[in-house]
Amino acid sequence: MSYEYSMLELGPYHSSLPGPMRLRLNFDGETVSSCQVETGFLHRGLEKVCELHYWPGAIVYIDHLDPEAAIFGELVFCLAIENIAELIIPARARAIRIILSELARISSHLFYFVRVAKTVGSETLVHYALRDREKILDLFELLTGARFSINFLRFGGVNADVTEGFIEKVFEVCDLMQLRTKEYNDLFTFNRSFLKRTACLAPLSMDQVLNFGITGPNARASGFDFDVRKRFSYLAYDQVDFLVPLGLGQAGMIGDVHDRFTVRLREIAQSSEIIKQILDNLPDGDYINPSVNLNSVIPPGESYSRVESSRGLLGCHVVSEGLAFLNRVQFRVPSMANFEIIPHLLKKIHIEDVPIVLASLDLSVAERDR
Amino acid sequence: MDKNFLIQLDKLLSGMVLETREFGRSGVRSIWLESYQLTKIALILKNDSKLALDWLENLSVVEFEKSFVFSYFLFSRNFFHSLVLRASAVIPSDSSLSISFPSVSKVWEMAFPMECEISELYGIDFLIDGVVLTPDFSLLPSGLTGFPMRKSYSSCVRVP
Repeated sequence: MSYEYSMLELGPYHSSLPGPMRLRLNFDGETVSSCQVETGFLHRGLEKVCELHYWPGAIVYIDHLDPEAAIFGELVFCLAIENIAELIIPARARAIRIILSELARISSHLFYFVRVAKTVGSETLVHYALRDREKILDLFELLTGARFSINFLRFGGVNADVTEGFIEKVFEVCDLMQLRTKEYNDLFTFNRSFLKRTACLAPLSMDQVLNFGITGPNARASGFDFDVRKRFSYLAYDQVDFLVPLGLGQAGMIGDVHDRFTVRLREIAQSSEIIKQILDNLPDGDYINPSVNLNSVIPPGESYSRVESSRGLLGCHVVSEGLAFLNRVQFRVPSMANFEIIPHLLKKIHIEDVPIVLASLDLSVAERDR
Repeated sequence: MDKNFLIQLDKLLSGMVLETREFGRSGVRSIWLESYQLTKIALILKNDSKLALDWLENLSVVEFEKSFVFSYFLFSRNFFHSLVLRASAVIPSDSSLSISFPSVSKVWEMAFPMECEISELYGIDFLIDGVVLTPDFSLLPSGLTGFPMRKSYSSCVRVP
């Protein structure tokens, strides 16, 4: 039997790709034999841009590190600066930061469902997830004035306090999300068509997770029990009771596309639980350290901070020379490892499964290129 | 920091360390080395059963006082120790020249994309067994000359 070898180049713009990137696929018949990934089309020089602005001004640019969950970039940067300057964050500000982080995590995971559902052909889930995501974006707009690039965190706290009306709406959204996760679970998780497309597909082995430094839900789906909120607890996460979902291999293989989907579904439920616990015990007090103002200069020093973003471990190394401008800000982004694993995961995959494998990794080209 | 970890570290690396200090206010130890010893020490740290620093969490380069300072943020998945390895290289006076530095991609596979990025943005040639590490693709647009992340890169104007 003879096979035809062919090459297909996707990108930089293609509907099945998560953003501007090029994918060169070599095929042996209908099976991918090898693959090369090229990124850099969305390189905006964010780290350099941050060096050219005053300290508080850099926050606006860091929002664009991962536009789908901007709060995480702001948070990791603010934590690093606060560590250098030994700024105390009031308890109320820490709680507000956690609320916004978990809402962003839910929003990001819902958009993940949209991408996966589109590749699988499930229009129902696309519309349901987008509908629910709108409620969270409305909450961001209510509090911060913006839906995506919220520019809300400040050194020593947050830009504004939460109101009773906002708290009520957040409770409603959390209750709704807990109902919705059950609904999504009933409708999709063990839906025959969905299982056929996702079960035992592109499993990420533990060796690959460890060698490539993969973190976040992709790693936890493969059984790697690592969550920055538990391991290097920050803000008030050590005072909150929550579980870290791991892949169970319910569809046949641990770490497959199905596991990566279900882990995120369970994380949404956990995030709702975290928010409710925080709101039930919302501390009184300041929403920002009163000693901080826009003219504050960050003293000389350096710091490395980490947060658990919706895609994995997001790190930030900041160096200050005691001047009005940053010497250096460097981000350790979780998407870098996710892009490195693509050629390994796509090997021996059928051509029709390529989009779903890419969607299952929750890739952020903006974060990768910076 | 775990006392046993520090004792083992001092035992294995005695005579190879230039300076030891705390990294920022984190309580994590940071070790300064000569760059030519970097790969050898990286292997020791990864392969030792008591240290097992098998995860390179982050690689960062900072331009500071006419030198590039390389910071390797290491983590042990089994014992949850952290360590920061540091080495430096002098920046050439001619800003169009690149410099060579040893690569740790053979020790920690996850270093490869980080080194590729740094190579292009800072003009640093990472060497694996004497051979320059070649990135698979270019991050920067074609036709762009110079190394944008260097302080001497002249196209940048500070925003008042």
